[in-house]
Amino acid sequence: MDELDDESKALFASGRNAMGPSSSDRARITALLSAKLGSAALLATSGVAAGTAAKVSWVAKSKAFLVAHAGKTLLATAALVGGVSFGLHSAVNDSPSEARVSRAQGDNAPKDSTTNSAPPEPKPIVELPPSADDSHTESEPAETSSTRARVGRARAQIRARDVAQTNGSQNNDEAKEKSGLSSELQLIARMHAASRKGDWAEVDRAIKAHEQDFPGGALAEEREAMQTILDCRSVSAERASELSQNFAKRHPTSTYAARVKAACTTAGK
Amino acid sequence: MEAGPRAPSVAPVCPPFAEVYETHFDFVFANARRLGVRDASVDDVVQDVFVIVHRRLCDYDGRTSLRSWIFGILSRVVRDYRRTRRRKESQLSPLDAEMSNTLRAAASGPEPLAVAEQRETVALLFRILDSLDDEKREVLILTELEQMTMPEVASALGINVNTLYSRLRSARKAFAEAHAREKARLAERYEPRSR
Repeated sequence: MDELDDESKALFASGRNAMGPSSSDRARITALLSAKLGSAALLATSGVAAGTAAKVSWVAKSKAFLVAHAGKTLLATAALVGGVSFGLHSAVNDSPSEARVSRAQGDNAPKDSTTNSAPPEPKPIVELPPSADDSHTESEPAETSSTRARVGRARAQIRARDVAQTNGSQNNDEAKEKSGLSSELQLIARMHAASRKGDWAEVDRAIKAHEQDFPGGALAEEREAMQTILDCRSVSAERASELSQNFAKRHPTSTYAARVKAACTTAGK
Repeated sequence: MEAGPRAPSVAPVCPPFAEVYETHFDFVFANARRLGVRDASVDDVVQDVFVIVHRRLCDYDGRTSLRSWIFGILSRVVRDYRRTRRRKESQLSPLDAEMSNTLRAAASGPEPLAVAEQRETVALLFRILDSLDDEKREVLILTELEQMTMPEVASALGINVNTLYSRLRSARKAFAEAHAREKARLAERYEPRSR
């Protein structure tokens, strides 16, 4: 094989340690992601100290609130939750201790709620996170309480405020781009909710909507998997097997290949 | 239409997300930047990658390394981002200026000249990488910067090893050509003008 010349090798060597995140990059993104996923455990296990996380403006407010109201044991795990509680305290007049207890219970769970291993129904390919958006979907976890829903709403408010603060100079187009993945997720969740109900016409509509809005989207593989499963339902067993193989060829490393194969094997007429 | 038969429900064994996040955060962040994501968007891209990882983690079957599986997701998110970026290229700051800021912020120490040289070298590398197409850039980042094994790279990119070798060959060739062009451009810029 054609090797790189020494000069190019030196160039690559110089770039090997470049572009890594700073501690503030990590703290900022971790806080934002935790808000998105509703996972305060992420803050604790990723080693983001409350003081570092406080560099993110709204997390700073959370920390101040927590210091004033919470025990030290919660501080490391709940800087983000503090932000939620802070927002709740003024927005929906919720009890801060209630919110803290709710989150603390979540933190003690073996996994976060989206990876819950004991759902009564078969696991969908994609589930929405337990974020604010969940209060409008069917994939909401069973343990969700009204407090959790209020926490979700407050979290959404805080997130919206944070986005507005950090991107104040950017235009509306930017905001639309940011919502791209969540819109994709909504459509994928719609597909799976419909498939669980057996509403295949709705599955088809959701697939078409996703195809139209996000032809090369980040979740196109999920759409294709669902499309293949849907197609397999209306064809012969032989053709279903062929469709499943085609999917595997197009996505050789797909984690859905086995699921598509299983569905097509049993669905073909 | 009636519901189709369902696959037997087996409780998935998911790697703990927080652990995956902690282990791969630097990898995702650095490679998002290397793949050409600008400062203004890197937070969103990294978050999007981990949102997808969070959803798919229970489907990860261990056939490929977790790192290459995550890179596959990153690659798709970045391609999506780059398509969007092309549509509004004019709103973005030049990569060079941004890269300099990033590297300047990261640089510290008592040897400003060495630091400046290092910064220029790294900026040159990423300027060249940025001039390549997505496929070539990805293969060079994984092989030359991440130093992954060939099977690992192949699975990250969803291609077979023979295709990978062919792609790597053409990526190295394109890199050498782009490097030569950059050197010529720099030589022209700094060449003393005689009257």
